[in-house]
Formats: sequence, structure tokens, C-alpha cells
Amino acid sequence: MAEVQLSGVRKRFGLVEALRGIDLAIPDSAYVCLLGPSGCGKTTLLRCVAGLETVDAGQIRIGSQNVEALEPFARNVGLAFQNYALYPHLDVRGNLSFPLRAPRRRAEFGDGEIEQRVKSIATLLQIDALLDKPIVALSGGQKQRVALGRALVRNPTVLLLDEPVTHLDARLRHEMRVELKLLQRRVGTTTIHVTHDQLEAQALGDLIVVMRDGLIEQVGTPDELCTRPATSFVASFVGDPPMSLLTARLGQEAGVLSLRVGAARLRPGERLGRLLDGLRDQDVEIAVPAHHIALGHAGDEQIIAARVQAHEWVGRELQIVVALNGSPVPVRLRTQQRLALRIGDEIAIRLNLESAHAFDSKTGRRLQSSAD
Amino acid sequence: MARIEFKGVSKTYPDGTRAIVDLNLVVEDGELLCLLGPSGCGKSSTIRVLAGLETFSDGMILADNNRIDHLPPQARDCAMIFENYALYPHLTAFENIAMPLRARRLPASEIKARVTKIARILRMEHLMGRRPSRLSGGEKQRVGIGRALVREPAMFLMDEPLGHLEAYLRVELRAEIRKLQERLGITTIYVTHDQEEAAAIADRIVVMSAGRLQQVGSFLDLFDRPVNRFVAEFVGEPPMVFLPVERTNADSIAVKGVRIPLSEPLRAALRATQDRELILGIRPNDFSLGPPVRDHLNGTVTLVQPQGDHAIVAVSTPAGPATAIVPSDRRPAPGATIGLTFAGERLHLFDSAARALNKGEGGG
Repeated sequence: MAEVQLSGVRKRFGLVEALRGIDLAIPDSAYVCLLGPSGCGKTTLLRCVAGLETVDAGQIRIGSQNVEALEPFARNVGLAFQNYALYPHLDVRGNLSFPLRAPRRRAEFGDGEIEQRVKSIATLLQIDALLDKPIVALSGGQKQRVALGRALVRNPTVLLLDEPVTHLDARLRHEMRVELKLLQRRVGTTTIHVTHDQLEAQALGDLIVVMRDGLIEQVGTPDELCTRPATSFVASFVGDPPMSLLTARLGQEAGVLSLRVGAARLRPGERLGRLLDGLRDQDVEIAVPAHHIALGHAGDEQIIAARVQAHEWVGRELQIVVALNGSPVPVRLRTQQRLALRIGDEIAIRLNLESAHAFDSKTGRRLQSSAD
Repeated sequence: MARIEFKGVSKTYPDGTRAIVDLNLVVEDGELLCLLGPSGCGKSSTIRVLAGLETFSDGMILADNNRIDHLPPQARDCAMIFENYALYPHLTAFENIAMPLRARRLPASEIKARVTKIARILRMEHLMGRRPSRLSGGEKQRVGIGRALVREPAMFLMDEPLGHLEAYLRVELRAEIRKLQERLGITTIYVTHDQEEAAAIADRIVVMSAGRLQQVGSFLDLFDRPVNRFVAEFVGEPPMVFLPVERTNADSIAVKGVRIPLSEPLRAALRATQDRELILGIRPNDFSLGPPVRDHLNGTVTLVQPQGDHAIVAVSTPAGPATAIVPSDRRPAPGATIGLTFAGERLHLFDSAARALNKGEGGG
């Protein structure tokens, strides 16, 4: 158990700057998710902490120790990957005990202690009945448990997980998420989990680190990312379905602030109006949570014409993706109405901007009032 | 375009494995039907026998009321799309798409016109001169779809066509497949193990397990009116919660001594069976959480997983683990003791053979 501190971490692969200066403090025993699209640097960052990549600049501290110059085995981290990377020629017991029998660790653990540790980790992960089974005889979920067990068997100070449940089917993924989090709570090991799935990050992370192009966009709790996204990128990434990002031009209508979105003119409402007060004739980006977008009817206020791009059932709700006139950005909403939609249909949507987020269209940074 | 009918189709492998068991299914003209199930359920075998890639043991297959199962594959007018797009690496995207037309010795001008039209529909005109090695995964799959489409087949058979693509590409391409199918109206059978994909793309979904058709219906039918525990468990995320119940009367039940309010159709279904080993099924959306109340099903919150405007709450109850979905502003803290209540009209009851008691009635 330890805190992890990164300062000024940089990593370049040839011409590609994978990490462009990462500062991050991870508290002891925290479950942290590194979230971002492919290529954002999240896996590189994890590998740098593990020691599988050397950093070009910067420091990595685990507890009180600077580890950036240490070999992976000397960092006492446990690693589990998406593709398990189990040894196929060994049985479950052989895989679990492997880190304890590694040549560099010889003599550190006696046979009795190895067996005892393997048993206790297998019991924790409920795979004690499988200890003598060959890896090929295991299901996907069982393999993932063995991979986790192998990562945990040395009592690492930090547990590093790279997309550990991504490829499992829906049911198993749900079960494994719950198990992972409960397990981490019980053992208390500081955990860094890499994922591209924002719902997974929200479900598991005490803290989420959103990354983009080798930099950190925001560090926050799941609630903070949803209620106070620091950038339009973060806003467009979070929510179920993610928030919709609109470009709006600020203007005046009869002395009142109005937002022009495509051909429609919308009133910003009190809170957003205060936020935009003083800005004139410029573009802002507005992020609207899906539950504040509804189907509209002719004659309603605040409606925008839209064209259906996709429609699908999510549980009992219909999720609709629409395109606004002249905007390439998809707008997502959900409805309980049972509609027979076809792709290409014209519909009207109604926006409630009361809790919308606003961003500077040039920097993408959040606009906020002093009271916000 | 065609209406496809499977009549009593069975397929048994020489080793005795029953890949398809007495399949009776109509695929309507112009419909997009999904075959959904875990690996080994028979969904791929079903379209492979339809395409003529595999023989079957019993039954018949009709297209527009004509038997086609004696025809060679090329005479059945199906176009298949697989997970691995199997493009010719030495040919350009244009030539890959043109291949089925060249094989039919169509005039060059017609080939050009048809390939160009397909490229436009699939928005890949700019890729036509490239070889597969210079195409991304999504682009390759689009070429694969184009090649299947250019023949203007009577039916499209797609076997996990997006299986290996990145998540965002899958979402994009499945919307494109749906759009294409709506536009062209070609009867399409789409095989997948991914319920989200099936819900996104299909008019109707067929759930299969162990070679048998379990249920056919819209996603909502499967979600709200599953005919058995397999369908109830396979469809819906997070999965349905199952709790063992005791029968307290001819038409009432209890979970760990807590009486469960039931709708009248469920009570009627209960009266009609002597079965005592019943399982209650509840969708995570259909729980409400409140303060613990005596004589209610109470439990301890083990984990709260935020998901934006809602949260998934894991609860440990005396009857077993439960999962509830609650709005974010009403989510409890981990460790809290809470009371669970549920909407009586949304409950599902399964008998000892895992069949739903309220077949076709329960739910929304």
C-alpha cells in the first residue's frame, strides 16, 4: 500500500510524443482509472509505472521511493492485462505461484509459504477448486481471475490493470467489475486501471484521470466529471449516453441573450445566461446531458429540427442519435416513448439548457462564474 | 428479396453433437433478423445451412415458398459477410467489390456503374484505388460489405461482421448496416453474441441456446416478456436478479418470509401450477430503494457504481445478491442498510424447469 506520485513524466516513441508532461498524485489505497480514447497515452503511462517502459523525463514515486530507474521486479507492482498472458503449459497453481518462484525471488519464499499464499489468494478469488486445472480448461472469467491472482500474490504495493474486463461478455463483465472493486476494497492495494470505457471508469474509479494526446484533461471523481467537466472533451466523453456537444453563436434578440444553434434560436435560461453574460457575437460550446434532451413537438419552445442517424433499444428506453442541421456532431437522447423511427426521419428535439455546461470554443476550457 | 422459412430443420454432427434442433422460423421479406446467443448455440450453423455451406440432417428451407435446400450455394442467391472480411490482398478495393460481377461476366460499363454506386452508398469512393493493406479495419469491412452488396442478392447473411473491430467503429458500422438495410430492403439475417448490437440493429431477435430457438421477438419482448430463464438472463444489462421464493398460498409467494405483491395474471399463473421450486426474476430497473422497513426485503449496500445520471447498486440480501439501478441523486452509500421494493406488475416467475409462468404477460 502506497501513494503514487508522477511529476513531469515524458515519453517519446520516435516522432510520437506519447506522454507530454504528466503530473499526477494518486492517494494511498485509491482505485484510479486512466480513461481516454486509443492513442491518448493511458497504456504508456501504466507501462511507465510498471517499469515496462523507461521514462524520458520526470519522476515516479511509489511510497517514499523513486522508482523510475528501477527494474520492473524491484518496483513491487502487480500487473494484469486484457489478454491474461497466462502460461499455458502451467496449471492454475503454477501460474499463481510463478511470481513467487521467479529466479530473482528464489529463497525469498519457502515452499510452505508459497503454497499458503497461493491458497489464500485462490480462496479470495474463488478459484481454489481450480488449482490443479490446466489453463486451457478455464473459461474467460476464470482466466481473468487467475491473472488477477497472479498479480496480487506478491502483495504488491500497486496493482496495475490494463483493460482487464473489456473483452468479457456483458454478463461476465458486469460480475467482474463488482468483484474487482470489492476485492480492491478488501485488500486495499492502490490500483491503477486503464480503460477506454467511460462507464467502466465511472463504475470503478474513486478518481478518474481523463487523458488526451499525452496530457491529462481532468482528474476528478465520477460525479465531478459529470457535474463540472473541465473541458468540452471531457464533457463529450462522459454520461450514459455521453453529453451532446453543440456549437452555439451568442447573440441578442430584443435585448435578451440568445444562442443560435444551426437555424434555431434558444434562450439560455438563467444560470447559463449568467455564465455567458458579457460575451457577445462569439461561439461557445455547449454540452447538454442526454436526460435534458427530449423529443419536441411543433409549437414547443426551445426546439431544433434534427434528422435521425441511428436508433436502438437500451433496456426499456429508445436511444436516438440525431444530426442537427449543418452540424456534424451527433446529439444523443433517450426516450420511453415507443416510436417506430427510421434512419433519415425528421424529428424535433427540445433542449433544456438549465444545467448545460459552457466552454470557450477556442480553448475548450469550462466557462464558470465566480458562484459556480 | 425473399421470405425465408425454416421448417423442422435439424443438424447433427457425426459425433452426435446437435447443432440445430427442430428449427421452425420465418424471416419476413425485407426484415433484419438477429440470431443471438452464446458461442455454440447454433446461430452460425443456422445461416451456414441456409447459405448451403453446410448440409443438414432433417427438415427443409424455403425461399418465397420454394424449397432451396437442394440447390448448390451459388444458386441460393445469398451474400455472406464474415468477421474476417477475406479480401483479395493483391486487388484494389474497386476490384474486390467488382469480383462477383466479373465472375458473372457482366459488361465492364455495368460493372463500373454498379461498383461506383455501392461505393457511394458506403461513402468510400475515395478508397476505391487502395489495396487492403492500405485500409483500416473498418474500411476493409466496408469493402467486404460492398462486395456482398454489389450482387444485389435476395438475402444477406452476416456472421459477427463487426466482432473484431474497435468499439466506436462497431457502433458506427452497425448504424450504417441498419441504414443500408432500411434503404435496400434486403432480407437480412445477422448473427451476433452481443445483445447491445442485436438491440441496435434488429427488427426482431431470435435467442438461441444449445441448438434450440428459445424465443423470437423485439428487444422489448425479450426484455419484458422472456419465456424462460435463459432468455431472461441473457438479455438485459446489468443482468436480471434471481431470488428463490417460497409458496405461502395457492397464489402468493414470499422471499425469505417477506410477502411479494403479485399482479393478477401472475397470481392466476401460480394457481395453475403445483410447482414449489419457483424463482423470482427482477430487472435491476424495477427495484426501488428506500429506508429499511420491517417485513420488507432489507439488505446491505455492498457497492455503488456511478454511471452518470444513474448508478448501479449491489445489495446483499438474506435471499441472495441483488442489483438495482437508481437515479444518481437517490443513490445510497456503501454499507448502508436499505429496504428493497419492487413493482408487482414487472416481476417474473420461473418454474423448476426454468420456464416463465407469466409467459407473454409479465412486464411492460
